[in-house]
Amino acid sequence: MSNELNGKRVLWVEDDEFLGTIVEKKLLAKQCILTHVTTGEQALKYLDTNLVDIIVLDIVLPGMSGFEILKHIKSAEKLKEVPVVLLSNLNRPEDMEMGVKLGAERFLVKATLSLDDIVDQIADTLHKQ
Amino acid sequence: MFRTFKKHSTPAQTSNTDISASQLQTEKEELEIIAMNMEEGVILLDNTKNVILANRYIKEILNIDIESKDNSQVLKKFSEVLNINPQDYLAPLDKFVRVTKKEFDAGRKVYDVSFSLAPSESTQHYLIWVRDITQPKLLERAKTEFIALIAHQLRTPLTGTKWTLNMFLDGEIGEITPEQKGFISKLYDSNERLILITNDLLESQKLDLADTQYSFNSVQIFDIIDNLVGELKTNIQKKHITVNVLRNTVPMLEIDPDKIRLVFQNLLDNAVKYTMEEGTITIDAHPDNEQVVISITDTGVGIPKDQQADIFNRFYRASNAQHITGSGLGLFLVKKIIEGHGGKVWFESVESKGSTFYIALPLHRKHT
Repeated sequence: MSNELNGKRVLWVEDDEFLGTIVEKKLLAKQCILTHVTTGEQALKYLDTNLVDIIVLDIVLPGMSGFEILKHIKSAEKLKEVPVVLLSNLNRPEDMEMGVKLGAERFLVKATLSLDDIVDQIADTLHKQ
Repeated sequence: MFRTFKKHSTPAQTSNTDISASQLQTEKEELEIIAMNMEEGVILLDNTKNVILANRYIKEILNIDIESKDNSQVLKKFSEVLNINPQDYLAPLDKFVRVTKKEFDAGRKVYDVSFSLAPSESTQHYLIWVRDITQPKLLERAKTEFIALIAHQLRTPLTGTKWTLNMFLDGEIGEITPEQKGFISKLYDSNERLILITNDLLESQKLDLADTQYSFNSVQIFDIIDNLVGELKTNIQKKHITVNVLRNTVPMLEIDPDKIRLVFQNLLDNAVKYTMEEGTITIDAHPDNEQVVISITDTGVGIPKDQQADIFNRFYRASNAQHITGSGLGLFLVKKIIEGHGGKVWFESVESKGSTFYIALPLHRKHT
């Protein structure tokens, strides 16, 4: 499983600095092409002029929430086929329903999963495409 | 507002009848003072459900003139202000329920309302009690939201610590000595315990939810089950567990979908957690008279016989489960919610063989 993100373009939206550092280290070690941004606005701006294979999105973000960003992505012609994985720190059913409703491929809870699990799920999602 | 009355002055010589009449009058007036001025709303109805008495408290809530003796508008105003039809709650009292108590959200105010039947020798009366619990309710809600917020805030740095320590342990941040590994392991476990505590805080908020009003919908139980099995896919695959869902034809159930989802989430979570590698989980649902019985069977560690009686107690975790993450509030919550639906939950278990949890839910709502 360890090479499955090799060469894949990942856009990761995470506003927490600590978590961002860890994610960067982990994903770069997996040799994927990682772009890390801290707000939804930055994400959408990046997607304007760049292609990615998968988007990993935090729900709670400063400015636009993960759900709003998801809505934008799924309503843009050139973006709506890109799989989106939602990350959250809470295990709320209403969040999960919203995520599914808006078209997210997966909904993962950060505190209960290890980063390896999350990375596996991302790789899994990519390979199902 | 107090009604005043003058004590009857009794003349030197009166007959016994006169004394009892004046005593009765005094008692009557005293009781009326109590009834009319209580810090709780009361409506007294006769056996044909006509209002005989409505006190000051309830009249203030319903915006009815306190001095007025006309009680004909009381029930109508009751419906308007509280957004409920009192007949809906009074009628069932005739058949099998003596007291029904509910909380009602009437716009900005929250009321605690009880409907009861008071039979007497020759007839029966109905009573409606109303209390304004807006203040304590708002306080409770603010507290719950605050706890949820704190739990959420704690989880981000805890996640960061978890992930980083994991990387250390996996050697991804350079080689570490066995001694270093030992300490970092302990650090990791300690951090996991902190995460569990935030889980407990968040779950205790769900307990509050189980106390408040239920909202019923017609639901196909397999939709909830399938959705949850999908969520648990990663862990199921990791442990190479086989999940069998026996799809019998089952009618729609009148249940509160969010709360029932919590129930199955708990039970399925447990089944997956406690089942060993390559084990099996079987989920069955079938109709049975006026109810549907759902069972979840696992081939897991089971529950030791001497602890089976306590399993639904708050915070209880069996001794053979201490090493598995979880908060212990789960089954307590499950029982609360199922019983709140008028259903039953029970189980069979053999240590090291597995457990089966059964849930019986009535087809139609029975929430009291």
